[in-house]
Amino acid sequence: MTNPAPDLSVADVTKRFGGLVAVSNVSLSIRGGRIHGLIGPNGAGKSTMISLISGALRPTSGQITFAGADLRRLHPASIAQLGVARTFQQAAPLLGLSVMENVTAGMHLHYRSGIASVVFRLPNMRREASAFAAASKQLLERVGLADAAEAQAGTLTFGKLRFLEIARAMAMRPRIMLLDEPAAGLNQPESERLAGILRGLRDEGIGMLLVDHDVPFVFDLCDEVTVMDSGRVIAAGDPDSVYADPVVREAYLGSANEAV
Amino acid sequence: MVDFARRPVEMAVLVLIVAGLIAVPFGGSRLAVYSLTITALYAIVVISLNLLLGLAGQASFAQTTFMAIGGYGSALLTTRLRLDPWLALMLAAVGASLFACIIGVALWRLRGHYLSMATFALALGTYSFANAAAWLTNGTIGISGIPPLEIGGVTLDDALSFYILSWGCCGIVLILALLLANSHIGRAWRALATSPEIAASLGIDVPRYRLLVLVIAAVIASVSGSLYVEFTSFAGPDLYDINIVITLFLMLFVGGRGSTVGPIVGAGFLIIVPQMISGLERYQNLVFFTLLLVVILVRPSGLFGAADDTIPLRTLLPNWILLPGFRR
Amino acid sequence: MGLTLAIGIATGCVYALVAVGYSLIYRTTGVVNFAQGGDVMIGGFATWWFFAVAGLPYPLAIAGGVAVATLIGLLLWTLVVLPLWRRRSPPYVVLLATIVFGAIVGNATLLLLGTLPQTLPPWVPGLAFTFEGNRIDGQYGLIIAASLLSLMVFGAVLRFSSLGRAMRACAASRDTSQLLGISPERIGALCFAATAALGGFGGAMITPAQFTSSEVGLTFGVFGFVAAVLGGFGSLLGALVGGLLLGVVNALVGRYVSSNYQTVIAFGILLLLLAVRPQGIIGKQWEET
Repeated sequence: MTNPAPDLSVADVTKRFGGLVAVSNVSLSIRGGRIHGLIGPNGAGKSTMISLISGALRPTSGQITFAGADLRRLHPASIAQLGVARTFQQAAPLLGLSVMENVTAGMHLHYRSGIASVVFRLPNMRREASAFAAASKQLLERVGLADAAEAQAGTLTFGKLRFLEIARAMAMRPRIMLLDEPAAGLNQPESERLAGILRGLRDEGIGMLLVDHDVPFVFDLCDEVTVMDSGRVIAAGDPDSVYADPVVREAYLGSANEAV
Repeated sequence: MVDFARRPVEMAVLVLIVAGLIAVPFGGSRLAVYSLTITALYAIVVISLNLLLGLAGQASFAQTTFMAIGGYGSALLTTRLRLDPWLALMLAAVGASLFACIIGVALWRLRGHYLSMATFALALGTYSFANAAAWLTNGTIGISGIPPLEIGGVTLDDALSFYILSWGCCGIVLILALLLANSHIGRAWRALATSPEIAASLGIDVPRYRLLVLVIAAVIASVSGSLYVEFTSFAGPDLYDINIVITLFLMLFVGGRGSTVGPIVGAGFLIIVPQMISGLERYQNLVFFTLLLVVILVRPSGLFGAADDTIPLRTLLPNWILLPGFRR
Repeated sequence: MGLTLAIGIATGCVYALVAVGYSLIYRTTGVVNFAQGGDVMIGGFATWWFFAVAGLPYPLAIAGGVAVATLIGLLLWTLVVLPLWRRRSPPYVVLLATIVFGAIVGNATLLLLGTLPQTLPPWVPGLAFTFEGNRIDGQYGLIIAASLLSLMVFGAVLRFSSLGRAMRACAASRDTSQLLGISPERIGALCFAATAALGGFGGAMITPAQFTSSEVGLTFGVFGFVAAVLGGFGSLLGALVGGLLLGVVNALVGRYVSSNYQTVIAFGILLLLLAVRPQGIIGKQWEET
């Protein structure tokens, strides 16, 4: 594995919305080159966790650190610039932009050329533009969307939108990826393709937090799993022991297995 | 503006416009040259509004404020401080960019309603101020006797030279807009226009890019404002009243938000067509405003705009007309 | 000084009527209706026309003026705001549309009824009262009384009637209220009509004290808007507070500084407010849509 990303650690984080406690004293670590699964029933606070780490929400208490930086004080854009990418639970393409442009938008933070270079069409700007365009094409091929490159993002099917989310997040060349239900709505072959992509990212040293409801998907893929219920962590550890944990079975896996 | 190279209709229209512009001074009347010069100066501002609104989605009503900074700036710096007109134009533009920074930072948190209303208040306040602050602006009387521009010893005080200057500037501004729109900067603007949250999650510094487009639009509007008062040798409050605020939007909407030739066509349409209809003067504002309402309601994308098609008429009518007896 | 205060409070009351309109419409439909001020203008002007040109008795003329204003408000809703609202157009488009509509009404009035400012006779001729040794026109007192009365009635209806409850439901959520069997479109129509009537009434009241002309609409629209933001946009009590405060400040500026600067200072206040404390004096945090 190429050099793994530094750890992103969440320590004792709580989030209150007025009287409602969405997340309570949650700790977890996202390690480079490993996929960390986060599961739990609806309303357990999983998506809130992603929003807290990505900076969309500010924790009421606790610490979130990555590569020596305190993420609590930072805006989402700054956190993204540090190398933390996220996908959204509801597919969130940039409508009005094409598929290709969505991916290239993800590369925005790598552009070095400024407004002067753009206005005078300096060589460095042209070099960057073509380099990033080529890189975007490659990313689209990697996720299987190469033939849809020119299509308007709003016209894609739900499954393809999920892959677009992933490609756009990958375009950021992140160190850490926060994936909010990336497999939701995908059929079996698509899930497998997604799993393959995520394994590839893991081998590149990226650390991932994977939130999803698809239990086999999660347990197959993840190196460690944390289980949340009603805002608290009820179990954490390697997949096998978590899967066997009676508390987890009671709270979540029992009902999840019925649905599956 | 994006992917202009792939829109043959707009390219063809642009070619026609350029051809027409070259032909007019040879065959056309002095009135035609004059009107087209005014068209160019307005088109410049509408292009800046197009960047601001059509590309970056910032609903700012305050472009007239920056036109006023350019106009009054040039007027005051040349008449009171006796500065060279080109220097005055540049200083006014710098002033406009500074003011845009202040406004942008002060209002950067505001979105949607807030931004529209704050900038609308700014535009109206500019007009009031121009009228009230007679010690600075000469109030309703305005400032006249503005010395003309010179290029290389040639004084630009005749119709043809200003025609060339205005359209030259318009061309430069258009090219600038196209370059920006088709770059990663333009893509960042379109991203934040669609969804500031998603844009931020991609590492795009949204406040910085909003400020950038505001400043660029302000500078362009200021330059147009300066050129306008240089052309007419006069600066007065009525150049920046609410009718102008609305007219700028009308030009953009009619031409098509986000399109390349839309601003020019929209400006031309609204300046030339009224002249062709005699007896319109008294009713001009009324007709214009009604036209804008119709465009907003029925064909929001204008002539060359993207996305929405013509809205079907039945969605415009209230339910009780179409479905008698319908009660919720 | 007494006269200045009286003018300030009286015009402030009319600003409050307009401000209440802004807040109410914003709360129930999410629209900022910049044509509000036009209702004040139309109320005054139409009343003048019914009285001075058509020769109707004064009370009937006032009723006519209010009716015309109400009609304009309904027209605005039905023809302009409703189609955009249904399409969920971006806020600035609706704002622009209301601004343009207001401009159309102003221009049409200018063409139909002429550019001369007009006035009306006072409601109770000869009525006056003294304050600090000054004799103050009774009309101001009537304006204050009538405005406060109408605002109280308005507030009572809103709080205690089923209609008021329906309006508050729409304010909370357009889609949910539909599920509850409330028609947001009819509520919207009602709001626009009611606020137009209120504004028109204000116009009929203030015209005897000042003049009215076709440009007055923009002034009242702007000042009413500043008042609404000052007090807290969306808050009805804030509209009243903001209106009175702005009216007094305006009158003081007009008297002791210069009437030219009234509008500029009003805008300065507005910009400062929006930059520093957008929720106004009383308002809670204004939700971003």
